[in-house]
Amino acid sequence: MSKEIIKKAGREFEKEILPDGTVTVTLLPEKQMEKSEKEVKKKTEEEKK
Amino acid sequence: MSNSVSYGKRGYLAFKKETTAGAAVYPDTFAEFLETTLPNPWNIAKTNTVQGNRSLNTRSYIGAYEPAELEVSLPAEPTISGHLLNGCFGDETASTLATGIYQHDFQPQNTQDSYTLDFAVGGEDYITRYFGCRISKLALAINDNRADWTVGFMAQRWFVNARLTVAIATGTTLTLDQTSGITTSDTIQVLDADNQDTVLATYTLSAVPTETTLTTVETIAVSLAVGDVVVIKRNASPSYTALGSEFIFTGGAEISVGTSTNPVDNTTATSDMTNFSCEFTNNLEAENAATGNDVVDRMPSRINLLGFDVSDITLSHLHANPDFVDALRSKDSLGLRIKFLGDALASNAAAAASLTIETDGIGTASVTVDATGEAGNDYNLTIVGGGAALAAALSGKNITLTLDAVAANNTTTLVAAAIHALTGVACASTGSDLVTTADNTDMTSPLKKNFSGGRDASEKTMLRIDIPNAKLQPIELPISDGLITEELKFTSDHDRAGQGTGNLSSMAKVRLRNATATY
Repeated sequence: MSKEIIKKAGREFEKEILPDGTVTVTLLPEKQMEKSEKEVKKKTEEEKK
Repeated sequence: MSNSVSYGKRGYLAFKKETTAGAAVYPDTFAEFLETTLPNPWNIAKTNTVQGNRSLNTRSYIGAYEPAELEVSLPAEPTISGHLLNGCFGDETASTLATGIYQHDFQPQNTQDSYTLDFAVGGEDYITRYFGCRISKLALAINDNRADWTVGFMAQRWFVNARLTVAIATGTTLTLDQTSGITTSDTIQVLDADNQDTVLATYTLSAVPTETTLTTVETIAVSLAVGDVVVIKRNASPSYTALGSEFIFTGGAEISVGTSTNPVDNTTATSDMTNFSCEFTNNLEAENAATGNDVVDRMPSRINLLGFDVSDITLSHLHANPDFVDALRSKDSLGLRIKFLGDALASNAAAAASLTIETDGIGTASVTVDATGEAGNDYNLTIVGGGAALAAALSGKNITLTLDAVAANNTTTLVAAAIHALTGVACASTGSDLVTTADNTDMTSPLKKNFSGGRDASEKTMLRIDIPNAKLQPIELPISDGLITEELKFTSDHDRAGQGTGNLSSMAKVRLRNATATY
């Protein structure tokens, strides 16, 4: 089984290949990305202060 | 009128699809056939009285006539087979692959076409006509390596001959006891009732005004008596359809079996099947009603179409391992496919199969299989709504597109991106729109659709039979001094997930490729 994150059309997808050969590509939530980006930004600003 | 002894080789079979069921048309397609019998079901019933006479057959009367049931066997080849499949399954879906190259898809429909059939017997100048004919059975079997059809017809009505009921020596009106079955394209002969080798007159027709009168083009110029016999003259120069080569089994066919989800789309070629047969049946019921007192009113007034079945599906091979017994034990659904390839049809290049996910015409997502070839048409895409996230999955040749419960995440762009990231397919989007389950109304329930347009290079004529949901029947292994031949018998289930409009099509699908545009 293998997993990888791929970026397409401005969004992130998780691609998973199962042992039987089934391939699944799932769109990752956009909100999480925004949230994590905001958190990083906030932390950086706090560190600057 | 010839008085030579009848000889089968000089006869013919001609047929034509009717516009109105039970209303004869003039057959103009001629087919070669191997064997048939011509029924004459003029039923004479008996009244067995219990007193006055010891005879058990004291009085006879005219019974209700059963429908005429015929069986015709003929070689399976690419041209005439289309007529038979159209008659058995209902109207085809025809598509043009290239100029002069056509594909015909047959699935059981809820309506059935009727046909007029003419049989001429060698040595006779006239024909027997059966009309309102429905195909009750279409069976394919391998006979000395050749694939043969056996076709069962149920004929609502028939015309063998009629009798004049009014003497006439002039004018243009013949009065007789049956005109049903005669068309204005026919030529009729009037035979002497006392010597039916003698032709008294031959007429073409301008009209068939009633059930008991005919209008001739030529003026009647001989004396015709009551009881003289009217027959339909045979076609003097039958023009046979150009036939393709017969489909053959060894050296011309491939059998493959699928075991996974959508098994007929995911088959694997077998190398050890030594025989195949299957039979498509339409249960038909003739109805005799009180419609009048002419001869034709004694025949069935209609034929009702009842159930459809695929039966007598058999495959034979030498027993090597318990795989089929295991499938039987677990009631697995198997996909069976037999593909006959025939003559060279085109010198085309190979093409890749594709599928466009419709989105109201505003935006599309088009999926294309990476590899070119006909096998790409087995790829299928199912749309599922209400998922936790937009996702595309590929297992074998099955693509499942799960739409996000949040509609905004199902844009054509994102759908195309997800599918494109799978293996073996590419997907491109146009426009900007949301993909919804409701958009894809052309997909059968569940929302599944096969790819199309995949072509092998240099295509040949083809007859392909798919049994998508075959269920094994109990297997007996005949142990004796020799190799063990396993005869596998199947029934065809309809797909329960496709209850409703799609369920019949899941029982059998037949694809024919040839140079004939439509049937």
